[in-house]
Parts: sequence; structure tokens; C-alpha cells
Amino acid sequence: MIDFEALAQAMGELDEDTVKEFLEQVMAEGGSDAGKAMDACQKGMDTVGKLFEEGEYFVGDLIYAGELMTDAVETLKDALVGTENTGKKAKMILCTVKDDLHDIGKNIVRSMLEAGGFEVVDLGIDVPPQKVVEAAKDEGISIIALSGVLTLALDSMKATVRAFADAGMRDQVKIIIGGAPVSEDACRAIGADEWAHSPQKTVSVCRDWAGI
Amino acid sequence: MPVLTVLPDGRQLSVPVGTGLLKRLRQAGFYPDAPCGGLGKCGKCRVSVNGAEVLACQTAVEADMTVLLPERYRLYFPASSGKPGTGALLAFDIGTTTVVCYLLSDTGEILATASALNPQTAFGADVVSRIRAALAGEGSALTAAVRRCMEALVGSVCETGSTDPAAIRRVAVVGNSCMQQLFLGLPVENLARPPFAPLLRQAKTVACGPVLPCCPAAELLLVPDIGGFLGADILGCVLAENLQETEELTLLLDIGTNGEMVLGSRKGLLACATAAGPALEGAGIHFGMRGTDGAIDRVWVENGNLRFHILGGGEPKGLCGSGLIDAVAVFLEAGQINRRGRVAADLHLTQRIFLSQEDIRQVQLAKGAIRAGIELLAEQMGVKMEEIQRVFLAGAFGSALNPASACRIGLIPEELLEKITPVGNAAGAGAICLAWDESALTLAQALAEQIRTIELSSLSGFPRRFAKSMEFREAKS
Repeated sequence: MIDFEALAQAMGELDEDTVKEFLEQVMAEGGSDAGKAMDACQKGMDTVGKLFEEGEYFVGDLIYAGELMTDAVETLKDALVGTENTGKKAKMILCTVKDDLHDIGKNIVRSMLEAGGFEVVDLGIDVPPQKVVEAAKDEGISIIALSGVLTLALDSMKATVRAFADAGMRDQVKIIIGGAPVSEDACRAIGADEWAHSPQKTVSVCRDWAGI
Repeated sequence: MPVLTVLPDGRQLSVPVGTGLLKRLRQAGFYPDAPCGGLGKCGKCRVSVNGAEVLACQTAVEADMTVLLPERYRLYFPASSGKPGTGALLAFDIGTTTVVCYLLSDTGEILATASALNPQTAFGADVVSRIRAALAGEGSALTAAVRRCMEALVGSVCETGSTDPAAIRRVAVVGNSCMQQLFLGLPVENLARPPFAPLLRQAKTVACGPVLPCCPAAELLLVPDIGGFLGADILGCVLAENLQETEELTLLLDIGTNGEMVLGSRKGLLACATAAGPALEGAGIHFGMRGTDGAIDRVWVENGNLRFHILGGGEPKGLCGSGLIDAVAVFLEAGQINRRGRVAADLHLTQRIFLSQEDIRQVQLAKGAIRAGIELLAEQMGVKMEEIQRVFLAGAFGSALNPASACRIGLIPEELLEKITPVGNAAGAGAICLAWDESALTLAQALAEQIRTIELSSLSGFPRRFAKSMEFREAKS
């Protein structure tokens, strides 16, 4: 029997070897506990997010957590298919905006969002406004998270919000912007609904919007 | 129109109502430190207005105003050293922080040297803030600032070297891509957006007069950039150290605001740039400062007591880059910083001067970026760290750095400690080669084409490596 509490704790402490051992044990035992193991990893990620907000963890730890989470999904994925581990997932769009190639922050947020119960449509980096609008239209998605590191990204965020307005869809979507250059002022100037510096806030805002 | 009186000089400037104080000061040739680029974040452009302390970047001139500038805000030129002779050539290294000028004889002998703070510092400490300023319409102001500084340096070295500037035959300039383009008055849009392609791809010779009127008869040598963030300065370092001909596997590190590095030997050279940020030069650090009088530049422990050295003696004002790295190494060894960079409380050097949690975080980002660059460069070349035979530390900061501390904090892998040699201003040495050796420009062109570059962020292993590189080794208990 797997000690899921210990797995969640190992994930929270970013103890890669222990996490790996637990997950391999789950698969060696046939994978029937993959759903529970995933839940435990997600619980560990909540701890990581909390420790980051408290200042105990830093960006490097978040990146590392994201990598561990990606590996965990990779290890468990065969067993996870078909199991209903977390019920129905809310869909949302995430991307790094046009003219910005940074994906580290975006990837951290993606793994935290996935851990938080979202199916994330990741459009990648350097994504033009029109592409975001089209993806939202095609997939009927109403939650949009825009990431950026460069100050120039603020212009692209603004252009993306405007593209939703031009398409007559602004009132159908909720938009959150995130990354180093965003602020309360920038959020107002850009016309976004929310802003965040920490992935934890992004997750809680999006969960509020999705009602999960 | 309001009148702005600038003390201690007593100059009077007319100012349209509502003009930003920092902007007007910059126009007039006063260059307050503004590492954050005038965003009101760093608190370093503090001046005294009508007796009250304010941030120049957050203050608009609405009525007559008297501003008192600290001594250090004015362009300063350390006395030029050297001997008189007949100067014929000039070499410049335009650094993001410091501009250095050498006066050379026809045979490449250094007759005089002078350096000055790059006045563009008033537009921000790093290239990104300079680019942002240029895109916001300050491009020609940035160009004017650096040219003004260069002309003053020419005046200084020519005076020391008893040389008529009009007799200068050749001027060679190296700098990173952004410094080069701003010096030449070229747009910098290419550096603001991917794929960050370099604009200056061809070595060439143009007339110097239109750029630096003080040298009307000279030809100006333009060195090609290797990549958008791998400039002619690192190329100058390669030239100066003859990396393309060495048998030994050598790592050349130019640690500045933009960390550039080249690994290789005669068998081939591989280069990359890392965005280390200005923390290692003291910017973005609460008590950070440049290596000028009052800066703590070395920190160590003696008989269990914390000791430090202050540049110029006197009262300590803050920490420069080398002092910062030493201090982090000392506090790590004392067990006051954990593996993840967490501190329980501010780390005091004196009652007033301390390192905060945020300062340690800035150091982690900077050293993580450089360390990840070193590891990925070796990995891409297919060599192990211990196979590297020599490490050359270039640049003012690299030369001031205590190698043991750099290794202790993990900026440089600890197994390379014994192999480290500081090489001083290698970019400047490269500029000197170019100025007097006519074949060097052709070689520079060939090198720019030969050196392979890697874009770190495009490598799939980068995030994990960067994350791990931010960690520290805890003290052995």
C-alpha cells in the first residue's frame, strides 16, 4: 500500500528521488492507484505554491516543481487514461503573448493549473492576438491566461484584449495577465480582468471563474 | 518657463512646465544613476530639491526649482595615466556600465588610458532598459550621451599623451550589440524582438568624423557582432586571448550585466549569452553600488570575525559586485543561507549595511543564469566540466572577483577553481589589437562567421538546469 501522505509531502519538499520511487511503485503494482497518486502530487504542488507565496521557495523551486509534475504525469499517464481521478475538467487557454519567447513562467503556471484541475490549451510562445481569439472561438473557451516577461509583452497583452473586443467576444471571456511586468496599473491600462505575479494567484482566480 | 538651478555647478536650465526632472538633467549632460530606467523602483536617482529628498525620475518641474546633485552624479573622468608620445590610434571598449578609451602609438604601445561611467546609465542599468528607452524615443539622446562621453575621453587621453586629436588615424570600437548600435545611432528594434538578429554583420571601415567630430581625419573600424546578444566585445576578448589558436580547452567568461561566454580551442568555438542582469554589478541590490570609493569590495572571516575591505578607506557606503559575492559566500559558509537561498533574517555586515532576502534572490537569478550557461555550453560541445583546462575571467567585474567566492556560491563550478585566471579588460585588449594590427579586422570577420552560437532558452534542458543552478551548496556541518 502506498503512503499517499508521504508522496504529497515528498512532492511538496521537491524530493525527486522519493517521488519517483513512489510513482514507480504505483505503476509496478498495476497502476490502479494512479488517480490517487496524481491527487497526492497535486496536493504537494499546493504546498509548493504556498511555500512560494510565503517566500520559502523561489522561482527555481517552482520551475523544478513544474518539471517534477510533468515527469509524474508522464510516468502515470498510461494508468491515468480511463480513470476518473478528478472528475470533469474545466478548459482554459494559456500562452506567452506575441514578441515574447519566455516559456519558463508559462510552463510553471501550466503545471500548477493542471494540478488545480484545468485542462490547459497551451498555445505556446510568441502567440499573435488573432490566434488566441480563434482558439477561444473554436473550442468555446472562456478563461484566458496571458503570460509575458518583457515590458513589450504589455503591448501584446493589450492587443490581445482588443482583439477579443474587435471580435465582439470581450464580454464572453475572462482574461488574466501574469508575469514580471504586470501590475494593477498595467491591468487597468490593458483592460484585463485580473493580474498575477504568483502562479498560486492565477490558479485561484481561474478556479473562481470556472467555479471549481 | 520655469528655471532649474543645478547645484553645485550653479548652471541654470529652462524647463517646459511638467518636464520630468531626470529627463531634463540627462538632456543637460547630468547623468544620475537610474538602474531601473526611471520607473521609480530602485530609489537610486535621489536628489535634493529645494532641500527635500526626492527621486528625480518621479519629479516633474512645475515651477522654479533648485536641485542639488550628489558629487557622483556628474560625469567623472579619473585622471588619465600614461606617458606622452605621439599618439596615432584610439581603441574603445563601450561597456554597458563603463566606457574605456586607450591612446596608442603607431606600434600599438599604450600611451594613455581613461575610463568613465557610461552616461547611458541614467536611462537604466542594463541593455534591456536602454533598448526600452530607445524605443520610447530616447534613441538620439542615448547616442548623444555615449558620444559625449567618448569625446571627453578622447580629450583626456590626448591631453595626457600630448597628442592632437585631429592627428588620430584610426579608431577601433568594440561593445555589445546594443552599445554598438546606439553609438552609431542605429535603431535597436532588432534587439527588442525575436529572433534578436544582429545588425552589424560585416566588419568595415567608415569615416570617423561624422560620428566623433573630434577625430575628423580618422577611419572608424566597425567590428561585426556574433549574435544579437553576443557582441563585438566578446569577439574582442576572443581575439585578445587568441582563443581560436589555443590547444587547451578554454572557457572565456565575460561576466557583466549580460553574461557572455565562449568555450573551445583551435578545434572550434561555441558561444552563448545569458541574461544575468545587473545584480552582480551591484544594481538591484539594496545596498548595492559600483566599485567606487566607499564600496565594500572584499569580505572574509578572520578568527571567527567578519572582516571587510572598503575601497578608498573611510566609512562603508554599500557593496560592489565582488564584495557582494564574497558576502554571500561567507554567509553560506556560516550556515545563514539555506540551499534554496532562504534566509531567516537580514544578513548584516555592519549595523547599517545588510543583505536582504530579496538581494539573495537577485544573486540566485544571476548566478543561476551564468552557471546554467556554462554547463549547457560544455554539454553542447560534448565535454565534461573537468576537461576544461583553463578559465579566463574577463571584464572589470571578472577581474575584481575572488575566484574562491565565485566557486563557493556556485557561479562557477567548484571543480574549475584552480583553473581560473583573471584576464582584465579583454574586450579592451581586443579593441587595441584591432586598432594597430591591420589584419585583425579580417580575422574578426572570419571569427564572427566561425564561432557557433547557441540560444540557451531554446534548449529543452534549460529550465531544469537553470532551476538547479539557482541552488546553493550548504555549509558542511
